[in-house]
Amino acid sequence: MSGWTHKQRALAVVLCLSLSFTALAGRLVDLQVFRRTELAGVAESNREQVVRRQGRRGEIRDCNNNLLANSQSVRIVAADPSITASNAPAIAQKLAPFLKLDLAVLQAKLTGSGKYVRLKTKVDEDTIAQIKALNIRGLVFEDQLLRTYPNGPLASHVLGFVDNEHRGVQGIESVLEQYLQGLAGYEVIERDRKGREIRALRAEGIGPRDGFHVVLTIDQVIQHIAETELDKAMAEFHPSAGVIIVTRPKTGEILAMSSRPTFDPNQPGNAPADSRRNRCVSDVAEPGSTFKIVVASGALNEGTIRLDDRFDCENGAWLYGGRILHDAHPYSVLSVSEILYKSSNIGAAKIAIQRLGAAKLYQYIRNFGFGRKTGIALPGEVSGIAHPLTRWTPLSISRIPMGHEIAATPLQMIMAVNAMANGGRLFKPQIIKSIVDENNVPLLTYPPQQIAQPITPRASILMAAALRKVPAADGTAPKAAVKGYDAAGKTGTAQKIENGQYVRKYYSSFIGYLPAADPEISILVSLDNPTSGSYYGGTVAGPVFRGVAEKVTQYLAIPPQFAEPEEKKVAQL
Amino acid sequence: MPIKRYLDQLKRMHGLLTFAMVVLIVGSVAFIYSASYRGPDAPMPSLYKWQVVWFSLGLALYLVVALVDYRLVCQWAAVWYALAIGLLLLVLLVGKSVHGSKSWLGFGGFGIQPAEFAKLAAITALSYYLFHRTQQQRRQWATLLGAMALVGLPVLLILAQPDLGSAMVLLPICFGLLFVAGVKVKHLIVVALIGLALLPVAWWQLKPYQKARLTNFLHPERDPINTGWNLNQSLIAVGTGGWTGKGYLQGTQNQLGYMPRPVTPSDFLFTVIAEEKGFVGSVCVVGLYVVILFSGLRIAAEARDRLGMLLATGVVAMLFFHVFINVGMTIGLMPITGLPLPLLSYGGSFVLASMTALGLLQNVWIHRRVY
Repeated sequence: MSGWTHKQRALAVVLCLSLSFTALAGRLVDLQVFRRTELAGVAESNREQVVRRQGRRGEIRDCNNNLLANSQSVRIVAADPSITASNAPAIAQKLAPFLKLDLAVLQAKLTGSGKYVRLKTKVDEDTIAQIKALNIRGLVFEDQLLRTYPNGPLASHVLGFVDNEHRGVQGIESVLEQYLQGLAGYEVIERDRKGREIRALRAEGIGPRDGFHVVLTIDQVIQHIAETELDKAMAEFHPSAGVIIVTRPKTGEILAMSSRPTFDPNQPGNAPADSRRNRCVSDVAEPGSTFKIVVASGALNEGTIRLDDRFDCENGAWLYGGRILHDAHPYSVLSVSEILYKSSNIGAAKIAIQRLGAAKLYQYIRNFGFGRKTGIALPGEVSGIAHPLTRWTPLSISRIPMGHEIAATPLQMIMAVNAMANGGRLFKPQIIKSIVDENNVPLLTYPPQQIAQPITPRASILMAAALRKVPAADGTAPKAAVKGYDAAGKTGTAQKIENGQYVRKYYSSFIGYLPAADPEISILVSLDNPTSGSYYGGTVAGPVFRGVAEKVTQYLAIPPQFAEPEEKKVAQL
Repeated sequence: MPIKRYLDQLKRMHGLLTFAMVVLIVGSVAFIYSASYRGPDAPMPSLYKWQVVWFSLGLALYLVVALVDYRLVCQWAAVWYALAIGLLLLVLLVGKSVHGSKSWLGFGGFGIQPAEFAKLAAITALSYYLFHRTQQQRRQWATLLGAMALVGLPVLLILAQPDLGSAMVLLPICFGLLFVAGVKVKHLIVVALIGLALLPVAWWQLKPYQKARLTNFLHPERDPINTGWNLNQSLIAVGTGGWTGKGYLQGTQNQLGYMPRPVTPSDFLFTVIAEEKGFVGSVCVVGLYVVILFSGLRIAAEARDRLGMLLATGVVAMLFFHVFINVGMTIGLMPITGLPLPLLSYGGSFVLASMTALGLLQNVWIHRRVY
């Protein structure tokens, strides 16, 4: 008989079964013995995920511990595309209304590569709860800290803002980043197939540390006063920009620093970059007449002039160095005092030329802090321009006293005036009062820091005597007079330079302090190119100074020097 | 006295086969419990309790089938066959659709899968058919074609559901029976070659998910997330079991839902055992099947007549195919199909069919010729 016998067939069946089971057993050895570690690694990477836990960013507070910036917990919605990709259109459809994202964009993110893609940040807890109720596989919810500025644009240029990664970008946020940011920790969590957290493997994580809080010298109320008055001035005089700075001359503390145009740090992207610039420290301008006080105080300090020394002001036109120097109003002979409060360019030039000399003038310019950064703890500060003597032209000594050929920031100007007001002591401007931990224990405190003494206390008193006549009937700024208070100050009306040419645009400024004899506050008002009527510092910036001063003196309860008439008091009651 | 006769017959049962069966039954309930376990706080699905019910019914069926002489059972082969075909037609008309295939006949809250009984009916019918051919006839093409027609009808009806896996089971049964019945090997090879040549046509007929399963088996790394998910997660589960496993109720792959929850108790029970009991556990399981299948072969060899031999061979072929395909798929040796593991997998119809099949084996053994 040809073909296979029964025995052969039986043997073939047994052989077939034996080989099959050998194959199964062999494969089991391969998987469970040899590839065990490799597959365990795959399983672990499926299950375990390292999640970053961000420390809470520190608060920024004003000098009375009022909140200027704080961090709130919100959530990030992210997805694991390796899970969501297969069902992306349906998931996108469900999620889009909650995340307020474009359907196509969302779908593209859900089908991406990798195991993590961020869908939306800054999602509030209510929305998270609604999304969780949808029971969508592969979504991840992460903690996120949202920076909020409860006062909106108030002090925005000082505070700065944070970027999407919660890092400080400008202002205090940027300068004190290392103190505010805190330390991130991490946590290893185990997830099930649906991406739900099962448990945190605490032993493998490191907890985050919260950032420190920053206390500023800014006073929220004074800041508000300054910004309100600045807004009023912007509306009344229509300048292209404006700044107001309020400081405490005796310490160099900045109580308010405002700049227009402004922005809301809660939505920094909504404002152009130009609006986000802190003009108080980043912009320079020729100081104009205000600079006369540097010349006068220098000469008084040297003892080469007295307040009642008289100079011929040439009836408003004086030929010097081949060029005619003009005064806004013609004067014949003026005392040093009058030169200051009537603001004679010719008088100031003559003081510099005849009583001070170029070398001394330059020395005082430098000693008052011009041409170098004040060192304030804010980013973007510039040095301004104070050319060294070697670059002076023969005309320079007649121009610099009236604030030409020199450029300064508003902050440099007010700090110099503070020195004149405060017995000749130049302080470093101070914006940070202290850095404290979560229990308000100070880690760092910043005491007032005197950096120079450009003039003697005697010269300072003499300057005050002259400058208190500026906000008076005879002075350039009668509208700056503060009722009840003995204020001193100096106007500035500087012609703007565009493309190297003087144009018919002006910086109108007023810097004043009060009480003149023992100054508690100083205020700088500067408006860039006011376009409604007058552009004189005295008529434009003067009243703004008064507006700020009246409210700040009231808020700080600074005792007035002049008693108000009795009937007015009764009327107020 | 018939009672005494039955008791005598029970004493003649194949003890090792019964032992292996009972161990697998106990394991089945225990690991179906584990497969549906979701942690201490989660509610426990009652799946394992139902499996106890199926096994109770199955044991009764097992004893009845073991004791009624197989020759009597096979005389009714034509009836079983007609009944199975009738049920297969019925399911196509009024069947319930589960996972896209119409394979369930519902009775109230319960359902049966006629395909499982069709396998048994095909075994009896084919055995009976081949038993009645002379040795000369069996060496002719006519017998081979007749057998193929006999199997072809249920195959086509099951494919129409469609249930590719169950339909495929009938082919090794048919080939196994033809081979041991003495059909010319040359003829079988010709048929096999024709089958291979028709594969491209079959491919064209497949549903997309079926194609995906096959391509994925060949290239598991191609799409590990969707179609390849189950295979990859099963491999991870088996592999991480290691030598002795993660412990009972400790299988993370299963409990954390990485394994496909709805089908794990039926299709991936071997994975759960391999993960929780490791290499030792999985080799024990495979060993128990080796015991059952080789006992089956011995029963075939020692059968009283050719009919008993064919019947036992058919049962062995059916059980072997299920075991090899199911275990093979969980460890990546075979493509993913829904073929359950005999005795272990959850499922009423297949438990009853498996127990009936084992009852037939015992039957042949009880009625063997004793010298």
